[in-house]
Amino acid sequence: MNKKGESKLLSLWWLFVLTVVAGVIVISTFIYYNSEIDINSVHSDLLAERIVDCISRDVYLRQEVMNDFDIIENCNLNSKIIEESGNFYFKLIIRGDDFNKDIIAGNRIFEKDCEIKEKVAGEHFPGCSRKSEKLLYNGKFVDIEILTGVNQREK
Amino acid sequence: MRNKRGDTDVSLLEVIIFFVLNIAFFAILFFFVYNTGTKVFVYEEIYAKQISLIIDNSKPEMAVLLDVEKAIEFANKNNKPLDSLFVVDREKNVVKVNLGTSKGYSYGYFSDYDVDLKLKDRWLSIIIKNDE
Repeated sequence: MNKKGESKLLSLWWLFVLTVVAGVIVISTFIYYNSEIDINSVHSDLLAERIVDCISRDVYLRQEVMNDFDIIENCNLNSKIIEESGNFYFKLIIRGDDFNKDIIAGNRIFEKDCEIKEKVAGEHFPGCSRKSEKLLYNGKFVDIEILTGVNQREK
Repeated sequence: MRNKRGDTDVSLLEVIIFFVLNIAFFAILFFFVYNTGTKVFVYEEIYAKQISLIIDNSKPEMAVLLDVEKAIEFANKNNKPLDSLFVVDREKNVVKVNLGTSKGYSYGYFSDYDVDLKLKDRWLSIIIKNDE
């Protein structure tokens, strides 16, 4: 039967589409700029490097590390922040032919969290760093492994 | 018989209005996104975290200069005194940056250094003093 079609540029449909597009862009922008910049992984790397730097002299493991060595004081770490804040963790393992030494400090829960994070992506997990080195101690190579975790949000 | 008749004539005025409105719409959206990205709270967070990372990446007797021109701009706009923009709380081991918002942004660092912050012109000197 008689049908009459019309094409309009300025229509309610066009207005509706623009509103949806604007809404999506505004919401995305707010979500993006309101989310925190996560530097926990970088911070965790720095902590690992600080400790490795501190226990080694060139390619040698410092002798005093194997005795009564206060790693927090000697590596210029703040003991209150590392032990009490709950935001930091490190585990240093020194393995030789006939000995094994572990030095652990901070929030021990991060060790498990870091293991989980290696397998599954997740939010609010700590930023983790794992480093391995070989250093000389008493003429023999020892394996150094360090795991660090940092989970800091705004204070 | 089915008579179908479609009218596809669109006037030039309608086309012009359509394009002008579209351009205005996208211009406003672009301005909004750009403006949101230059908000003061974004820079407070950026500077606090930058300073914290610099402190933790440094060694004693080091000094680092950080360009904080944007911070000075915001401070002048918000009438904030320049000597209170960047503060280090030695007791809590946090860096606090306040460029004019009510609470600013604080972020911690793990080093046990004695840190001094000095602002001159657009440069912030982060001075790591010798171990206490």
